[in-house]
Amino acid sequence: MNVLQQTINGLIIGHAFALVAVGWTLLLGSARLVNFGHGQMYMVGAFVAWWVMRTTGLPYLLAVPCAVLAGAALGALMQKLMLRLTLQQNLVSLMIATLGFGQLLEGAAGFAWGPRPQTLASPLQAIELRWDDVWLTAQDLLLVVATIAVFAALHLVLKRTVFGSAVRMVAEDPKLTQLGGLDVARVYMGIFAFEGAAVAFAACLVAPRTPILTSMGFEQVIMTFVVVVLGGIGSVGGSYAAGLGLGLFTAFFGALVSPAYTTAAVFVVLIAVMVLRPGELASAGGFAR
Amino acid sequence: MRFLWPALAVLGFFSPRLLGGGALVYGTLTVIAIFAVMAYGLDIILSDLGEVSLAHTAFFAAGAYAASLLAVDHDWGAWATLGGAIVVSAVLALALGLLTLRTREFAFSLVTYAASVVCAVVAANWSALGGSDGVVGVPPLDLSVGAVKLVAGTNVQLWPYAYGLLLLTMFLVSRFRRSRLGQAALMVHMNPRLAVMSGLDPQRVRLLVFLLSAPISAVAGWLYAYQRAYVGPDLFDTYFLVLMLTAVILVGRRILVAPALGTALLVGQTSFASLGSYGDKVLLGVVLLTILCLFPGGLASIRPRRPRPDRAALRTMERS
Amino acid sequence: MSPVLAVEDLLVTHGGLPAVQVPALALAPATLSGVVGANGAGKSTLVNAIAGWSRGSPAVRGRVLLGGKDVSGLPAHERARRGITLVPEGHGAFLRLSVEDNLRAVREPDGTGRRSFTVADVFALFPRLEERRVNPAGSLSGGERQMLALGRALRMGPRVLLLDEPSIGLAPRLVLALLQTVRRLVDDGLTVLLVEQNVRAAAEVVDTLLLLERGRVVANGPVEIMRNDPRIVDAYMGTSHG
Repeated sequence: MNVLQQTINGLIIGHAFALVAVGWTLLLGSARLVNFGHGQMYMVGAFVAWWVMRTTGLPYLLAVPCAVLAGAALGALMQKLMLRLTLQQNLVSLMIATLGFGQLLEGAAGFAWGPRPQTLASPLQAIELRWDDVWLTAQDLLLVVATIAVFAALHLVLKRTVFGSAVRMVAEDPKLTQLGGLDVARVYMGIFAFEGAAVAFAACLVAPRTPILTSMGFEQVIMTFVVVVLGGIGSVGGSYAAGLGLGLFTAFFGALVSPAYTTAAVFVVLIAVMVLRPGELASAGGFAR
Repeated sequence: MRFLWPALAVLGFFSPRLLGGGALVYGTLTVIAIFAVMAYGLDIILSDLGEVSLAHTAFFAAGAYAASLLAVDHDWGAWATLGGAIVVSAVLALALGLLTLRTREFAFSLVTYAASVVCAVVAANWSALGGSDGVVGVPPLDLSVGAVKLVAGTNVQLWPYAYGLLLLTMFLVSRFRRSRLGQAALMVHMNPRLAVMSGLDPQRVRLLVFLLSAPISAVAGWLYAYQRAYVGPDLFDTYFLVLMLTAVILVGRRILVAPALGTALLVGQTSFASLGSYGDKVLLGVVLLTILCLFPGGLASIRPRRPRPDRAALRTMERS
Repeated sequence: MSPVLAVEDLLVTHGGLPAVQVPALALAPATLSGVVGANGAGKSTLVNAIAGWSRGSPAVRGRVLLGGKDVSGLPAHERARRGITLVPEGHGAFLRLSVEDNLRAVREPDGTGRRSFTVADVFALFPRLEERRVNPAGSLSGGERQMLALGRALRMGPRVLLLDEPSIGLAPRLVLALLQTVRRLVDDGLTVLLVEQNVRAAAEVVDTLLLLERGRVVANGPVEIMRNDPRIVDAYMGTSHG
């Protein structure tokens, strides 16, 4: 086994995990919302890009913004549906509602695009970069660069901008935020739209690696959930680190043990962490560390 | 009024015949009864304890897998596999419950989800559990005791057992709601601080309720193994999980017949009025979202409004 | 002079049960009115209803008029923008944000011609806050957090300031200082409705006193007269709690 190659694979996969998880992190940290429809939103992002390319002939790099816009719209739709439940902080109902939203998306996607696997073709997927005996594709490089950019931008927005303060306030106490004259619904809109846009963006960058199916998305939810929990609920920097760690774990476990059981192994690790260090999940979740 | 429940129970028993009989009706109603039992396991967690467990499909599957593996690979009889199903699910529930003993509610949900996923992956990949092909060849249900022959090979024959199990489950749940544990669960749900001050340990209550609910769903799975004669990883489908959750909340919370009615409506739809696999998913999603976003109390909460309390209050206050 | 704030036929119910019923209430400009009453009398419910805000979900009927204009249909954040500012009981500041962030992250009253307080103004009023400007609000003492909550409210340039139990948990010396600060703000032109458990301290600074009992105003008048009202004297003045 080529350790350096596995490390590179791990880092690339890790950035993919982190990017897929970034919207979920913000949503969970600020609205306490566990979005079980996340995987289906990922799937829709990939399929919108594919469909745009197929029907309009637009190149990949122009199809991506279309998918991101569609994702943001989907996030906005979610917000409209779930605003009342979010304000009531009715976590139980919210979780089940997102499950329903996910099923709705899966069914609708099936109607629109059918059951056959498709390929989201990115020209960068074919370009290989090699040094000595390690290699990666240009798509991989784009993924890593884009992920770092998104995380950096998010961090800046949260710490330095007015909207960022609003998000942090809503995360702590939405009712009190209202008293400051701020429209909490608009803040949630931004958060939800970001979740939709981010997961669609992630889908566009990650999905070219494998065929896409309207029944997919399950894997993405799983890994996202682990990343967010391991990284600390709502911690943006933590998600990035957890994503990378998880990517490396996945790469090495898959190479050394068995690819099929990687998911299960990851969950066992998660459960172990939760047992040994329940702090994060036993106390009130903080935000934007 | 006292005869209402027994009368309905008898009526329910004859419902397949009243709906015309035939293979589809018997098959569907038997499956509805089985799934409804599973839903009751979920119901006591959701309605009484107020938490979301995403592991009950795993308990259901655990019961089904235990039944099928013990029956097919080890020739165990139906009563023995029943015991096996209960034990397996109780052990699983104990493990999950202890893991989440000190965590918050939404962490509890996430861990139950994680557990389901792990079980799903293991079931799909481990050859000892049949891998992606599952376990086939489950023999007909044989609960014969001594000279009393109790065998059920077809849906028509299984219906009384499934229905009986459903009635038993409903009885159990109604007893639970009146028991100390049931009252404790409700208090922990509605007013945790008051519960603690009354000397209740919320984590312990949650663990006990969870331990009670898991075997209920597992027994449903046990019967399902015999009904379908095949057990596979499709039991872990998200669609199935969402279907069961919807069935529990569709009609209303803490209403005894709600899970049974909800299951009947939803499973009935997929059987008698299916819109295709995609259409059913869309419909389920729409139904669930409509209920949660518009009628969070379930269909039962859609009632003609009583005269507005505030006007009555005003009148009272003006008079005094 | 027309009242800055008026309430008409206010009825607040919780789960069908009446909590507050106030047929009429009016606040004259630049006055400090105190609302007193026993626990559960409905004081917080009253001011929350005026602000259109609540941590629960009560049903509110009736009209709230700000400067003669009906704001009853507006949600809490809209009323806050127009000048009805509430400092709620207990948590009035964001514990995880710094003092400075807390003060900056409010909607300023630009373009409405209202007196607005800059962050520097607030620091001038409460020098202790300036000393701790980069500290998270969670690390402040109870008294400092109250000052911060008040500072946040002032930053919004309120026309009417609703203060819900600002003295809870504060040492007596601090209570006096806080109330005297509020008095000075009123003397400068602010209109304040003050809910206070500590009747004795409130009576020192207010212009009018309202006694709330089981959700209804049972006595209302200038503080000089209300001071001697037997209900107030019996229930609150003579006892040691406060």
